Amino acid sequence: MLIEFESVSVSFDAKTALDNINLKLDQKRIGVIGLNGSGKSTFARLLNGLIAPTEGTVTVGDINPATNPKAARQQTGFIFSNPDVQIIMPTVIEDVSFTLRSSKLSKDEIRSKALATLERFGIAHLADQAAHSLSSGQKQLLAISSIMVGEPKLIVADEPTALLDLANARLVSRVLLEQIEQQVVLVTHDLELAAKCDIVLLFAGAKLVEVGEPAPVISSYLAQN
Amino acid sequence: MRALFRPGASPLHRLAVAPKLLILIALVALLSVFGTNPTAVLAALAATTAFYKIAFPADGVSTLAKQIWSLKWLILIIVIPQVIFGAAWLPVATNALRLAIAIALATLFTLTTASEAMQVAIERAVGPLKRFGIKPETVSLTIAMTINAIPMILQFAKQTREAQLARGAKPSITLMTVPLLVASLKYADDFAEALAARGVEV
Amino acid sequence: MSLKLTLRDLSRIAIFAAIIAALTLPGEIPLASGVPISLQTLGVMLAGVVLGGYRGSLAVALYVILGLIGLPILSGHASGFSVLAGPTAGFLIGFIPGALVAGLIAHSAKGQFNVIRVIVGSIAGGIVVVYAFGIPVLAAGLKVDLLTAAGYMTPYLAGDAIKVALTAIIAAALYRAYPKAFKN
Ligand SMILES: Nc1ncnc2c1ncn2[C@@H]1O[C@H](COP(=O)(O)OP(=O)(O)O)[C@@H](O)[C@H]1O
Ligand SMILES: [Mg+2]
Repeated sequence: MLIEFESVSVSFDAKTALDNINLKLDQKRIGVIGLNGSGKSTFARLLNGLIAPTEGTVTVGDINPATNPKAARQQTGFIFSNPDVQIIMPTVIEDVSFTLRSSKLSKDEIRSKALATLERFGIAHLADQAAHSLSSGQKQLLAISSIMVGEPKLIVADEPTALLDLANARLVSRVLLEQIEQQVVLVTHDLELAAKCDIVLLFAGAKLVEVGEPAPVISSYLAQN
Repeated sequence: MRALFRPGASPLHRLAVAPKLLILIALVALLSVFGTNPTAVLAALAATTAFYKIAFPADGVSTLAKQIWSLKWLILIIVIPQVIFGAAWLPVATNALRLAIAIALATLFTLTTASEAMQVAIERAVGPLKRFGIKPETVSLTIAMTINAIPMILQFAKQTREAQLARGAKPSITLMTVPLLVASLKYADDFAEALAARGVEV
Repeated sequence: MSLKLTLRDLSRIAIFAAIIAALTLPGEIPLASGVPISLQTLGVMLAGVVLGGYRGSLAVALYVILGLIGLPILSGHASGFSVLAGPTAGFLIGFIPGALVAGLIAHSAKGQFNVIRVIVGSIAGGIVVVYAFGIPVLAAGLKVDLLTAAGYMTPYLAGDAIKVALTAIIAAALYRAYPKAFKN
């Protein structure tokens, strides 16, 4: 899908979080790096209409998330850092099924579809467990399953491995970068991960300072800080 | 966190939520009308025992006895001041027994009704609120959120206490509650954002 | 004030209902002195004072409903629907308008946090309104007159006064730590 930013700025009260961003992206793996507060999360939230631009226009596919957040959220799955806040329903399978609540499928179809998705991400054995009893890594896999079951076209992940240990971080990032066939926007502080993307965006002080092949963008990030 | 519901297959378990509730309310109302008559209260005790026996054929009587025993403090709190203020023992005892029976009857409703059945009944009961823009799904989602959040908040409480102990602070109500509220309300705000991201609408 | 609830309102209402439940569960929130007081009323006052009258009273109503349908989250020995049949039912129901009044008064200074209003609101809502519902039901349940029933409540008054003070201290600290909590 084509992601397009035309002179996009976002400000909160007096503070500018993003300043005049112009972009066209259609790569499959899009990495986003930058210091804390540089505007990465604001950029990510624009993609599914959680935030609307103060100025300019964002287009994802043929949808403007600011004016049509419902459609934007259907086509875009969002993964947050904190796995706890993403769980809506009491058990693992119910949480995955929740995504399909307004589909026309029967109860049994929803259950088998949810189970198949859990199977795919290796947590089908936890289906009937209380979701909050899972480990952080398992919760993140649950978040991914809950989103993937809705068959989105784009996955946006905002520092999805920030709260995970090394093994779980590797597992989750492998799932996001290698197992998922959809387009992925991955905000991360893990430069090894960024290096695996097709293109990397570097934000600094609310500005998009570099876009391009991972290696040069990452080395200028390292040089600047 | 365990709900009070006790699974079973008795007629009381199978009775739909709304009629069961209405019968209960009627019984409690009857009891309060005739509640000063010792004979009537004893009859009510016999009837309640029978209901418990129907609901739990294996251990109905002991379940009822346990329920009444669990009310001992409440009954003492009620009886002692009245005795001190010089009331006669028969009316006081009748009144205490009447209260215990009313509570035991109401408990029977809870014991024989699954939370899910009650949630469904609530959803149905709030159906007419649709006209005021309140969707039944929103009500049940909010209920589910609360039930999920309770263990979450207890975990915040534990983490807060450990962090304070680690820093040598003596836990107190205020020291405990403030970080707990901050963490919980931040959680609420993040959670709302995650709900929106998953396409939930009010 | 708009009656329309946003997702964030709903989420806060749900969380606050859970907070009241957590505050009420005995032994779950450790107290320094091990005082055997229930923090239920504290939760009710805080709900009104922090979320405002409308959202606060909805949070309390949600808590009460969940307790009545059988979650073991109400204070005292009886739980579930049976509480309504007991003599203390009026207090439980009174919590709902209590949070409403506490919140309306505490939030009456437009956008400003005002500790005096928090205290007045907690007393008016958390004590006066709650007792106004609780005492008549207590009197009817025990078949005594109102004055006698009110007399039974005097020992609890001191505990409730402490909770007003706690509400003010906690709300003031919360306002400094997370002012967003008091806004929409
Ligand atoms: N809801 C908000 N209200 C006010 N300021 C915000 C809000 N969200 C982000 N900001 C500010 O915008 C800037 C960019 O934030 P963000 O996009 O979250 O950065 P990053 O994700 O790169 O750490 C920061 O200075 C942050 O404080
Ligand atoms: Mg961020």
